[in-house]
Amino acid sequence: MNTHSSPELRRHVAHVSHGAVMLMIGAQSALQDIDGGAKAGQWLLVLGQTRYLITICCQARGLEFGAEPYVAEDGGALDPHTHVPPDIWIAGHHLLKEASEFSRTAPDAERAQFWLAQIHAWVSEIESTLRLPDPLPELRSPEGMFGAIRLVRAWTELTDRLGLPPLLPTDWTRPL
Amino acid sequence: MSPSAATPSSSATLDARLQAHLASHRLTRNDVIAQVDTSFGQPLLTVATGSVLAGFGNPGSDLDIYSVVPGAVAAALPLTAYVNAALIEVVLHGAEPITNRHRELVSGQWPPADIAPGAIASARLILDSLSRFALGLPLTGTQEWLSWQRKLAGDMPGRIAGWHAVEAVRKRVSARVFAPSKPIVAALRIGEALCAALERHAALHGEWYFKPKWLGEKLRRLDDHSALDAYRLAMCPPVIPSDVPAYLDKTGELLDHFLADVFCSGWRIKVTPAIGTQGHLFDETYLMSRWGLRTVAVPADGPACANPVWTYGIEDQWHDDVADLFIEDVLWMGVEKP
Repeated sequence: MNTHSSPELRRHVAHVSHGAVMLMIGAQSALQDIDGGAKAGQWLLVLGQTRYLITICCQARGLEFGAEPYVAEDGGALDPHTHVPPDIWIAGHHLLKEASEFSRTAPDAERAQFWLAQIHAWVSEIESTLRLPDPLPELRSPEGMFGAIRLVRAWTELTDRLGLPPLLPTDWTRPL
Repeated sequence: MSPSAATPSSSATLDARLQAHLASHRLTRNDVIAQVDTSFGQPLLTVATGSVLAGFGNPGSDLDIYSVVPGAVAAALPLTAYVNAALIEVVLHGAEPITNRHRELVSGQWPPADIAPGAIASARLILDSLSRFALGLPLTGTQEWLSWQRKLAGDMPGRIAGWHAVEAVRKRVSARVFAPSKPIVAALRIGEALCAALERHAALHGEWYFKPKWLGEKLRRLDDHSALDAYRLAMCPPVIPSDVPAYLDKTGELLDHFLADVFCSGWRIKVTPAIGTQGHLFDETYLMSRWGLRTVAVPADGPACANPVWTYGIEDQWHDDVADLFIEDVLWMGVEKP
């Protein structure tokens, strides 16, 4: 990992920790749905999850520049757009527009593969801005859950000390 | 409009969906039931549920197992198991809390008489859990709990439709507040409002599986082409701000259409500081910060400083300072019906 300087400690910690959790909990499952939906020809699922993927990834990317880390309850004012570099936003929405076309007319296998590769690359580019030493663990895999818990545990002491919001969704830590 | 054709799929259909999923992973029902942890007591009810049972599953789908157990459950964290490469997620619910939640849902109203931050996420979670029980296929259960599960199916569709009506109105108000200064966010928000209106439309026509990602597939199953066109519009907001006004108009017309029979009489918009905010007087300005990450300054002699809770009618214009704080996401908005 190379040296990197940030103008503000809280913002840096919020970006890395909350950004990583948004990608592990939100983006990874959306990508799995997109892959599974594309294979199964469920292009309306792919469209819905592409929109969600782009929204949560932009929220994560915007964390470095002023976006809000707390998305557990949508109070009506979430803003995944304002703080995101325009090239990321525009590239994401081009992919979304293509997903909408696919929901009308399913693409051939080659075009679907090309689009899937692009969307994976778009997410990877966002993950790379967290500057983590290793790729994020896959939350929904036999070994990934523990890797994710290890990361969250390691970050929690500092996020708590800085008064940042909890990293895990509160509905996971509260019985129904 | 009250829910029509709101009967969940027949148990024969649910059974066939479960069998097909299990067969593709060389699993038996007993393999699935064995995943339910008995640390909180022997389950009183166990249902297979989720996308597979709703008929939307694909080879990558997990199988959700929801159980009611006698003891108090420590957390709602899904317990994940991998059997023959199949992902099975088990969620346990304590008998007493889930009974109370159900009772509150049936006897309460939405929008509630009084709302505060936290209430929306909590209510969403309860609808999600109860509807999954309602739409599930019982695998084991006592007579009492099997009968509870059957009753749920009748209680849920109307509540789910009502939930989406409130969300559609709430998101539409948000879009209106964002429109002058952050048009792209306004477009995103009105798309969310239209999705909520379409969710309501689907629920009223018998598709009330409470999972946003399946909205398009639910509308396809209803063979509702005009709703599908509306869905695609809601999904794809303009990228250029100059395209937003036309988008807001078109989406607004669709909202008028899909919400024509929603009566908002007596509904109030409540706006209040969001979770994590702090206010500070700073000479002639009032500063609101959230998590210490950013600060919004408004005049100290304005309404923000004096009383940081505001209520408005659905169509009311907000005070400029309140709108400015809201679009910076330091205020939270809910709908209530006092």
